[in-house]
Amino acid sequence: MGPADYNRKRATVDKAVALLVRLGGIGVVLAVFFIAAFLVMEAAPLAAGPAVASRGVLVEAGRALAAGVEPFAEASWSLRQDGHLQLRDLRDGELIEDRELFRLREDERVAAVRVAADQGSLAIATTAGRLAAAPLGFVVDYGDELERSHRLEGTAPRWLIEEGAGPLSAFDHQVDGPTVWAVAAAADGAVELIRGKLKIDKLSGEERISFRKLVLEPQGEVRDLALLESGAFVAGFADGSVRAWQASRDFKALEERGAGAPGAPILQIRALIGSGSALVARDDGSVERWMLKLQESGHPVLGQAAAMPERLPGLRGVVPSSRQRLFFALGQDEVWIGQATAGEYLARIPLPARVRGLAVAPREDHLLLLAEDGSLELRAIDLGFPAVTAHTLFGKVLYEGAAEPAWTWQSTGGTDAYEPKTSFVPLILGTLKGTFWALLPSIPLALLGALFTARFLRGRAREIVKPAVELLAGIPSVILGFVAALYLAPAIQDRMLSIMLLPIALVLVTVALASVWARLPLRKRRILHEGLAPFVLAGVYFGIAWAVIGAGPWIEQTLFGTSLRMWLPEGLGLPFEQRNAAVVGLAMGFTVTPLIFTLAEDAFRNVPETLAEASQALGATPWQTAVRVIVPPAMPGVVAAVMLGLGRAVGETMIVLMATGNTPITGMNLFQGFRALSANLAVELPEAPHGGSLYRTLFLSALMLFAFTFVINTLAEVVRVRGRKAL
Amino acid sequence: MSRPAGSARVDYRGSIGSFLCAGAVATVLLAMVLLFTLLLMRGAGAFWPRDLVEWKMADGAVYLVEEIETQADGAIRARLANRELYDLDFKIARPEDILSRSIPADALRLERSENGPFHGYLVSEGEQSWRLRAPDGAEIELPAAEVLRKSYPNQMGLLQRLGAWFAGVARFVTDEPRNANQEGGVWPALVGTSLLVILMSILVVPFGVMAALYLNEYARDTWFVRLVRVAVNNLAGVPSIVYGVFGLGFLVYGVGGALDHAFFSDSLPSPTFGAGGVLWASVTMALLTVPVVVVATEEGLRAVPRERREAALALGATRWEMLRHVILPGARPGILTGTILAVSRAAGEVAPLMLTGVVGFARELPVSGEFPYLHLNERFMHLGFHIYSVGFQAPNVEAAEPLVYATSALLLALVLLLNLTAIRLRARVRRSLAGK
Amino acid sequence: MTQQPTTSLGRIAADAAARRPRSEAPPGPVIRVRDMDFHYGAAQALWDIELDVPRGQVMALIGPSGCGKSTFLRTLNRMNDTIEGTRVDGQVLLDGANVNSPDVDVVELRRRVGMVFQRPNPFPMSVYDNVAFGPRLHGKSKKAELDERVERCLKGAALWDEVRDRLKSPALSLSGGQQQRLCIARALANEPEVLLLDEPASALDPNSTAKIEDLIFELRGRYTIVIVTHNMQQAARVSDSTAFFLKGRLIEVGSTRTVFTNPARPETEQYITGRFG
Repeated sequence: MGPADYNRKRATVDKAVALLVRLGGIGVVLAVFFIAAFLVMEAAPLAAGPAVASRGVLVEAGRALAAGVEPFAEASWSLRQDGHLQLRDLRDGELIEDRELFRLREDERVAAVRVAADQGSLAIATTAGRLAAAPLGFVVDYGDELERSHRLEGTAPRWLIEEGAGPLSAFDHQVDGPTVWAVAAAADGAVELIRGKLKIDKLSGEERISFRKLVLEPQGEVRDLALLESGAFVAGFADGSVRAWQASRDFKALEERGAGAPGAPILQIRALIGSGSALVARDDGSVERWMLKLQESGHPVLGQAAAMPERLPGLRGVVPSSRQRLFFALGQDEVWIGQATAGEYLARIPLPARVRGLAVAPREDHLLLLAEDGSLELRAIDLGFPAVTAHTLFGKVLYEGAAEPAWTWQSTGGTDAYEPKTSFVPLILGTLKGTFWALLPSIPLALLGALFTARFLRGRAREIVKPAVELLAGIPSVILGFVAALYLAPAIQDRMLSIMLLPIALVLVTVALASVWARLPLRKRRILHEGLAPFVLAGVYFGIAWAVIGAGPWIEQTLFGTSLRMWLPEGLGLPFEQRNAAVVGLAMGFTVTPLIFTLAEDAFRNVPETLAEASQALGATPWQTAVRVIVPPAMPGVVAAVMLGLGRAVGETMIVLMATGNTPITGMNLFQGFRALSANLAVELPEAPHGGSLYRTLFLSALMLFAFTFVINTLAEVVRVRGRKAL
Repeated sequence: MSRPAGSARVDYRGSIGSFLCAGAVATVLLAMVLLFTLLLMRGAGAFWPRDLVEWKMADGAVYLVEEIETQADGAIRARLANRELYDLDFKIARPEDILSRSIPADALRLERSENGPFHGYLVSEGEQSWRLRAPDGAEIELPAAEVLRKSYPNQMGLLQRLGAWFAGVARFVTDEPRNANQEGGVWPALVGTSLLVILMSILVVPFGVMAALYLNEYARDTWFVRLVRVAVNNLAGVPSIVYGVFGLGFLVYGVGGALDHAFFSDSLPSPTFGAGGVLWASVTMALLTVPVVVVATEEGLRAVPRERREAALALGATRWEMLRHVILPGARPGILTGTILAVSRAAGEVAPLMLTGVVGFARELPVSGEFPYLHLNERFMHLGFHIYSVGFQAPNVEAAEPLVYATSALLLALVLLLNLTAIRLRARVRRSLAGK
Repeated sequence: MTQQPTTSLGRIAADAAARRPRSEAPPGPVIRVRDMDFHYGAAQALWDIELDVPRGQVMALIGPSGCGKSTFLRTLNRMNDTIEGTRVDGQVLLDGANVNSPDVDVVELRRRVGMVFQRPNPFPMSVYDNVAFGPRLHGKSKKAELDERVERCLKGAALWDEVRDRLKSPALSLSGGQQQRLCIARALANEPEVLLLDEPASALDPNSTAKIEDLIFELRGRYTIVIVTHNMQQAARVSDSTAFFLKGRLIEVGSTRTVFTNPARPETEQYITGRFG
């Protein structure tokens, strides 16, 4: 091989490596930025509104009073006037099944149908004034090729009013485990609350249902009724007033639970999923959410939770969602999708004019439109993540069961019908609280310490202090969290006063020592400059800390007559928790202080020695030099150090996870815990269903953390670089 | 302070100022010493054979306990053992309630596979079962298979105790955990941590060095590159949990889910790579520590004097030859510093692991003698998470506390050792930078 | 030739010229620079340089600080490529080929045109490895061959006797002067045709400086040497011809003796008589 060939080979290797390094280097840089992009990608769908396909599958079903689809949205059911339930394949329009679900008497017809919000049951009222309810279930059969076929589940209806006294003006039903509830208003205005309890005879295995009824005669014409939880119901009247009653616990009387003022006549009342609240639609197109609010007296009272901000012209009815607190309001030629928790309309969708009713598929992936001529149209719909809006994330919301609007984070509950409460506010406040109590002791400690280390310590002493602080910065935070939660928290709960008094005592003693020192003859004052002072002081401090902590309980007894932790709740009404913000502040101090310390020390040390020499040559004392000559130019670096400390405190996870109770509260009480954004992620993300609303909400909170720390750090860097240039 | 002694003015302000500063240093040092002492003492103390003290109580009860500490209110906290006899693991008694305290020479301590340790006396030691006497005199039969170790701590001299201590530490490091992690050792957590750190290093070192080489040697010094450098620096400050979120969302669900569909569709819907595991945890940690390696490597690269680069180029070296023979060897301490810092970070970081595959108890190690020997999709144990899970989720946290202290001390010792090495190396790099 | 030297520098130059063998025929130029401009980004550093470097001779570049002589030197082996935003216009011809042409292999160019820098910059390796660095890069890896070349170059750099027993010890343990001679040996090991010396003795003590100057004298004839120097005595002692740079322009070039005894331009005279610089 000649030298030219050899050089060509070298050049090739060089180019190949250059390519590799460029690819690898740019790849790493991009990968790291991809993190931010990915967080945005995962959180972005929260902002997207619902979307509905502009056309869908059309099927002829004949005239039906009510219709709906089974969970796969491949078959639709419809209930006809003769009490027959039909199941039709939406893929080919074939009739699959026709069953006489409700056996009616002669000349009797189904007058009205009501489907429960969870779509698990339906109820009918007949022209004779009789009332019946039946479960609504579907069975899927899989063929050889795993193709699905559907049929109706074999169910028996149950008559809740066996003998009617004329048509009903309104009714509602509710199946709650073995209990069936119904409420019905007769044409004469009497309202009847019915409770049926299913009992299984243990010997014969026979099912028996026992009914109890309560009757009420309210003033006014009842337009609609809706059952709420535990035997409560809401009635809407022609004069626009809304009133609620509830059966007493022993089911002997109906107790009034408050009333709303008259207004536009009531069109419809529909219970939302879980029956914690009801939608009230009026003739003027307005929709409101009403619920029973728990008063301090312990009694729930009817109140309006939210009013939709706009009126839908020609409102014909509302259909609540079967999965979340969402509803579809059907107008003359459009349907509006409303979010009941936040009280806002998310989307409006134009419809063909002939539509007279609609139903939502159980999985909320399709809308079924019922036309005047009896045809059904199935349209695909993508609701997105309607439960999360800017208002639910950051605004105060009146949730079911609460008395006041509040910022609440409680993302999951016991049942599917749980109303998720996803306010970031308690988490942000929690993060800020932890950060505040962590920075409060850390900043003075770190900055003063850094100034001393950089400008007063010399030689070996500095060689010990600086690496020691760096070692401290490297302690895994899980260890600090463990020590904080299992050692510090129990150890100081009876010595909270000592913890608060200790800094004051230390400062006072230091000042006293310094004053004595200043009067000492010069030659006795050498140890300060030999770097021994911190070590001597550490010994002194140990003694003081020992004394103050020992005396703490005694002082608490003397001052309060009991311990501080008992006195706070009893005397001041402030709650006290063992794992509180003070513990977190102390523990986080162990990570934040060394970080600020090392960075500030660099800043102080980077001020050229020549400046200090010039100052001292002019007769300034070392302290004057430090304060007037060293600190000002080092200020940008110091600010940057504090900002980085702030960033660290905001993102710290394990300490806040372990050393607080993780209750998402909003107060700034030093003696209570909190829940931080970071710890919330660690707790909830592993359990959040992939791709769901909570999952994306958590990604949004991670994005907020990322953005906040990134911006803080970048600002710190800018400040630092500017400062260095000025030097 | 440096005014002549003859001058009447006394510099109070200066004295107070510098004393407060010195006091800040003193506080930090004191806090550090106290923390380290607490952890190391309690961690090491977990294995020290303590005397078994017989308490005869005023109410007639007799206990055989290990006295742990005297509380602030004067009461003595002691470990009871014999979980099958008592509801509590610890007994807290005021001195006046204890009639007598004695140290019986024949007091026996058993480590058992069930019900925690036993304190009492030996009656007979059979093939099938042991007959024991409880402190209150009742006789108990124990299957011989449940006995792990017996000792008579009250008869031990200092040397024997020291021997027992070393043996205890050795068992702690090399044993499997028992009894819901509350007893036994941390071997699987140690293996899990090591595997995590090794996999992470394999990923982060080459890529981190490549990124540093790119930024420092190949990229032109435009505003964009400066911006990228600042950004990479700052990523070190992004909370670790955010990386965990990314790891879960992108690596586990995204990449892992796609791998499952492509290669492991037979076992779906139970995930293979679509669930947390040591691989995804390592990749997440590698992302987390890339800035550490990049920053340290860049520092190392800058520490190589410019003259050396020119010398190499002037001798006709290509850029790669210059890097390989002159720059990279010179930057080696920097790269090593970065690697050690990254390793120490990964060994101590827990939050991202909680989202990407760590578990409190793994039945299998992620390395085994079975093909393919390295099970990258397996969930794994980790020393740091062990502290969290045992300290917070164990059925009986109080009883497990000594082992949590021991685990903390072990982890702390590892991390401190790594950091100390890194700090020394970095000091060397900085000195050569300053000397330039 | 009959003119009497007028300055002390001129005397030195004349003495030095007298010591040199005179037999060689006037050599053809190995490097020819034609109409060269040089820019650092927007700032121009060199204007219209026209210069021939005669083969086998020593040429000194003199001039005040910042006059562009080092920049000029670094254009000869394209070391300025390593600085971003630099631009060369015009021609630098090495044996008739333009070194800035895109198909010139810069690696090969730098092998042929060796360079020694102001401050000794040995690699943190052994003495032996330092010298063997270049040959190894260029594909010489046989041990016997390398041994022979290392020894030859160290001898050529007048360092062999001092380091023969510690070839394996770190180069950084040598004294400053030894380090600089090692750097020269390292450059020689590539068997270059031209050797560029950028103030090679400015960081050294007088004793080491003298050794370097002796070495340059020794190397003359075998190599073409271009040396940048601040020290005019040095220029007068070691060089055959001298080029005077001022503010990025080549003011005057000629035989060292002529330049120092009878400069053609007033600026040159002012400079060498010490009126500025």
